[in-house]
Amino acid sequence: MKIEKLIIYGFGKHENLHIKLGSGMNVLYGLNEAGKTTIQQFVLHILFGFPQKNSTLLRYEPKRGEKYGGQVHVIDDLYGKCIVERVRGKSAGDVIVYFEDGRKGNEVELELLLRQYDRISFESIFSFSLLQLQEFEKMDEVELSRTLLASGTTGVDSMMQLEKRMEKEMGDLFKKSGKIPAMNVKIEELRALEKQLHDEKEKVEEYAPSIQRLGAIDERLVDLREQEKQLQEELRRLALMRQLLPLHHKRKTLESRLVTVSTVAFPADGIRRYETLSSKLAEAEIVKQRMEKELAEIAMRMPKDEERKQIIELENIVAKESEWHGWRTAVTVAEDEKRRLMSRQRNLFDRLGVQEEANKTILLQADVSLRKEEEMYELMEGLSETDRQFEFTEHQFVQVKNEWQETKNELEFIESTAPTLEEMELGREWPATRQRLAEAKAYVSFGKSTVNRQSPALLASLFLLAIAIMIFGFIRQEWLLILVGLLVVGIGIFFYIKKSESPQSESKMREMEKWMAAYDGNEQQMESLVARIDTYNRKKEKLQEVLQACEKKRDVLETELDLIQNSRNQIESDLSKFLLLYGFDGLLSRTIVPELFSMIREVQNVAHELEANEVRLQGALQHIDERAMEVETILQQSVPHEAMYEIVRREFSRRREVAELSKSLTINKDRVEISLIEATGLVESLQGKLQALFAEARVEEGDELYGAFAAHQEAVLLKGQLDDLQLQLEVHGTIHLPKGITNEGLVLKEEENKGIRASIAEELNTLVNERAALVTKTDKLLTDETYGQQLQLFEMKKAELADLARKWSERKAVSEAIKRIMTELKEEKLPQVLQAAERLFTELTDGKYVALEVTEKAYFEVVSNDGMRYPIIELSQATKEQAYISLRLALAASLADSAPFPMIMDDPFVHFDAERLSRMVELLDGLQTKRQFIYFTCHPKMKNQWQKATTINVSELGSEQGAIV
Amino acid sequence: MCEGEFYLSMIRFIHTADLHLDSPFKGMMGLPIDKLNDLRESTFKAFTHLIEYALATKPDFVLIVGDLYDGEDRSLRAQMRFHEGMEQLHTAGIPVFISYGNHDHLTGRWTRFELPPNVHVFGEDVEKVQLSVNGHPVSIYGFSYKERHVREPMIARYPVADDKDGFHIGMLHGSLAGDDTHAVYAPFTKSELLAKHYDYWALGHIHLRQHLHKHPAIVYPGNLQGRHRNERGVKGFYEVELSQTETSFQFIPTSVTVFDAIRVSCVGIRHANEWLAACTEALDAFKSAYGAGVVELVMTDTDSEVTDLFSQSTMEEWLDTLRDAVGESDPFVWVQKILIDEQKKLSASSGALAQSVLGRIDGWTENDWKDVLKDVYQHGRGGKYLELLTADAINEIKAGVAVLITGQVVETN
Repeated sequence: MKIEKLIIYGFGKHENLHIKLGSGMNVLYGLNEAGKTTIQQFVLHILFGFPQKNSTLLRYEPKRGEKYGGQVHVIDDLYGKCIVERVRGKSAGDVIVYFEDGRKGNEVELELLLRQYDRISFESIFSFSLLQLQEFEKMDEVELSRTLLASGTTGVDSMMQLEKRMEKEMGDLFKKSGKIPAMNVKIEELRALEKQLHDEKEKVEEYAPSIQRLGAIDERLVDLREQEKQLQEELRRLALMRQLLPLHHKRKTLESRLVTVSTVAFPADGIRRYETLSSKLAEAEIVKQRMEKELAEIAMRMPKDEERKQIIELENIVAKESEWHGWRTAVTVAEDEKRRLMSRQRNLFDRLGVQEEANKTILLQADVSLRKEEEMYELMEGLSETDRQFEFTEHQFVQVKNEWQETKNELEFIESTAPTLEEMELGREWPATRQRLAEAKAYVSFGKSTVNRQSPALLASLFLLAIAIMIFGFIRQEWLLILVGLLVVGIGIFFYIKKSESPQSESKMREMEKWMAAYDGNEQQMESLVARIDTYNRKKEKLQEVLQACEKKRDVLETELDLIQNSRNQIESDLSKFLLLYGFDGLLSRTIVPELFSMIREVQNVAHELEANEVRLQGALQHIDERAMEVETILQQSVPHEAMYEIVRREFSRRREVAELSKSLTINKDRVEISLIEATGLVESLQGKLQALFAEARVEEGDELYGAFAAHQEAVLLKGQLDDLQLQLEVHGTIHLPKGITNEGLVLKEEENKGIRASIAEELNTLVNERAALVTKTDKLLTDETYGQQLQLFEMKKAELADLARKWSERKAVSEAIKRIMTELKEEKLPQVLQAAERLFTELTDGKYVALEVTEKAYFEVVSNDGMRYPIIELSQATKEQAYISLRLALAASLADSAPFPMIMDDPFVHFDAERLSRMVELLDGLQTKRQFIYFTCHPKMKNQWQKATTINVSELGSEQGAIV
Repeated sequence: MCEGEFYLSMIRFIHTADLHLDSPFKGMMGLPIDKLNDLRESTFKAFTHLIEYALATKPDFVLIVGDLYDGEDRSLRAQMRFHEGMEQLHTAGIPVFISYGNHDHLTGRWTRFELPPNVHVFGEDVEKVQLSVNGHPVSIYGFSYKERHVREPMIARYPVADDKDGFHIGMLHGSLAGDDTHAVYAPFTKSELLAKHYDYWALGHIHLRQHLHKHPAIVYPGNLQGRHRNERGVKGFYEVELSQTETSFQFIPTSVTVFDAIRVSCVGIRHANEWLAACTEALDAFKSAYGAGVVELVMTDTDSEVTDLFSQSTMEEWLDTLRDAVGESDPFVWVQKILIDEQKKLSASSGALAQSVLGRIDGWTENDWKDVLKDVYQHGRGGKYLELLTADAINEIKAGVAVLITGQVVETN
């Protein structure tokens, strides 16, 4: 699009101004205040509308109130030649677009012509001044994007502001996890409502079960009411039964009693008859009883029969009284005798010294025959004999003993004159023969002792004798001989033992030998000594021989003494054995022994007498006892023997009297018995009559008769009552009473029924209540609008949410679109523009700088041909401007198709030196075929820079009003 | 005799469908609760009108072709009211034929009321019910939806009418084949219907009243009461008089609340009170014509001055102002929305930014849109309460964006 002509009706200081523009570079030159800016603003105002009255932009309304506005003539590749006319009208002015074909348009067509660009968008790309160039150093990529790269859209600023606003509004509407934004609030409301709806729905779902339950309840109610009715009927029936039951019972009892009672026919006048008869009977019975009593008394007083019999026996006993007394005397005599004998016996025993009963018995049974007596005397004789022998022998022994003593004394005297020991010694040193002699003497003394060995032969003969006696005794069967044999053996043994005690003489012999040894002496003295010793020895030997003879004799006597002693002991032992047979222990004095037999005999005699006396005594006593027994049997009582006959006599007389009494009583009894038989007859006849009466009344006894009479009377009464009852019952018609029913049963049944009725009533009540509740509930459910209302509310809230969501969606879409546009800008268009700018920049700087880049920090940098990098701020002002212009041009070029608008520049090249300027001009010259440039400048030199440019001096325009340049 | 003959050769019945009793009204916003409840009552009132009309005119029978209720969210009250209505018809001796539709299919898990014996409900298979009207045989064919969706073209199961003496009427809840979104509702074609040689096809399901064919008549009576902004205008049912030669219709309006869009010219309007006056006038005109309603006001002839006026505050505020000004009159008209004639608005817009943004948005595919809007639509708690992001919804958003951008540009300026 190119502007061909401007026609200003009235705008700022200009009016009625026609400015023709070339298709390429147009330089509008003018001094300050010439109206360059006004023209620039005119173009923008006409194309994009007058600013609002409150806008910061000037409206450039003519001061003198003439026509405001004008025309811009353009030629466009798409729309051809068009005239845009804007004049005063509404605030933005009224616009008309005239097309080649005569069509007219308004804002809509203008918008299309302007490719939807608004003023801001347009200015940001196609219109710039030095001022903007100077701000370039602060520019970063974002800035660039904002201010320069707003491709085909309005300023990125607006876009980003819009995006921000959208985001904010979206935030007010909805946040993913927010609570406050409108949609979140709505969602929560919906949730709450949904829950309520759910609850309501559940309530509604209770309807069907409730209806079913209602049906069930109704059925049950009908059922229950029927039951209740039946129960009521039953109760009424039961009440009637209870009422009638006592009557029935009464009837039944009456009937049953009548059955028992009414069959008895009571005899006429029965009671009176009974009473007469019974009084008579009573009298008769009293008489009868009296008789019987009398009889009993008689019987009681009547003595017993046995007593009468005993009288005779007693009579016999009394007759035999003397006999009794005889026995009594005999007893006394016998007892006296017994006492005398007993004392005698006792005396005898005392004398005999027999105390123990056993010994007494032995004694009483002992053999006191004459032969025994003789035996005893023999023993006694033997004993005396031995005693005499013993005395004699003992006397001899004493004589020998005295002889020995005298010899001994003589010897001792010799020995006192005997040589000394040394003399003896010396004597011994003398020939050994002497010693041998001493020894021989010793042998001699030894030989003496062997002589004594003859006594064993004697013993042997004694034994032989004893054996012979014993064999003889054995053969002859004479025990006494054996005993004697044994005695002989005993004596033998005795002697043997005695013998072994003797050999004391041997020691004396050795003593003497020692003596002889001592008599050994020297040879000189020896002969005298020996002589002395020899005399001494001879004397001594002589004496010793005498002594030895004495000793020999003494020994013989001693043996004899022992023998006698033994024999005596034997006899004593025999005697004591003999005495033992009679119970005597130990030896009795020899004087007593002969008397013993006579005493024993006397004892035995006394014993015999005692026995005889005892027999007599016992005989008498037996008689007495028998008699006493007899009497006691008769008298039936124990009777002392002393007073027996006295008692017997008394009893005898008493019993005789009794017999007299018995006789008179028997007479009495016979009489009474006859009277009793009469009375008994009367009683029996009366009883017979009574029994007949009882039989007639069918009773057992009199009392029953009264009962029967009472029953009879009752039966009559009962019959009457029964008739009454029957009448009563008939009134109620026939009611069947179950068997065995009782009042209690009925009451129980009634209670039970009442219980059932109560429970039915309760259930009825419960059901009725439940039914009412259900009916209310279902009615309420049926008419309940809550659910529908909530559903509607829910829908409304949903709609509201949807509305909010729609709003949010709109904003989201806008925001998203802007974001995407921005992204695309940055990623696609910006690099393209930068590349183009780089080329331009290189060209403008004549290859001094080869690149225009954006740093990582989004600042612009230039790269020089030697590879050095410079931030924009470090460049010279002119280079900086070159870079900026390169960017602008590149941007405009990139939009050549979508926005082929002319570029309007307000003196941006003033800082350029000639070389730079020429390159710039060169560049623009190259571009002007493609695009129209409108360059405003106040520098005269600038207007001459371009070869092909259309130059317009603005200062001159004012004076040439309406002129076409 | 003559009259008798006349009657014999003609039957008169009511054809209605899509009662949607007690179904919530969609898209309502900011309505006070009591008004909302009044609004909700309108489906009942419409139904009551139907019943009252039937009782008054005593038709030979009544056909209700599906969607009595609104799915599982039906209230007991709705069923009770329906039941009451049926009882009234029963008392009056008017037979009723019901074929359930997709919204009240047979397998639905809801409490069912036992209907009086005058009501015949079709089973899941096509069945034929015969009745005699004044001695004249009438055959009625129909079926109820077994499930929410019936993909099978049930029309194939309808028998061909071979007897020329009686009247044959088909009841079918479904839609013409060809529309993908409705393919699950027993699709049929017009020729298939015609091939059955019925005297009348009583259709249901489509809420817009329309005649698909004239002779024999194939008719959608529309619903009894509009329920959202897309069900505009007066709603009702048909009273049909059918003779061997002729079919005549009488449309009986029942809708209590009319949904509509009212265009308000903004020519010469400069001030808010002028605009309010223009709106009130338009609303009064609507009120006198239709009574209560829910309306959208579409601002036409909006020049830049008007745009400037509106740009003084947000559209919400303008709406509130208008609602305040209108007040709670009786009959009550609720202004749901104020729209500005889009075309005008867009052309008035300017700015490369708007173009750039809109241009970019225009290029987005449905998937792009889903991606862009996922924050809300994928939101765990809130997403489920939103409708699906359909092409329509996207278009609406686009339009909104245009308005938004322009507004923003205006503000920026």
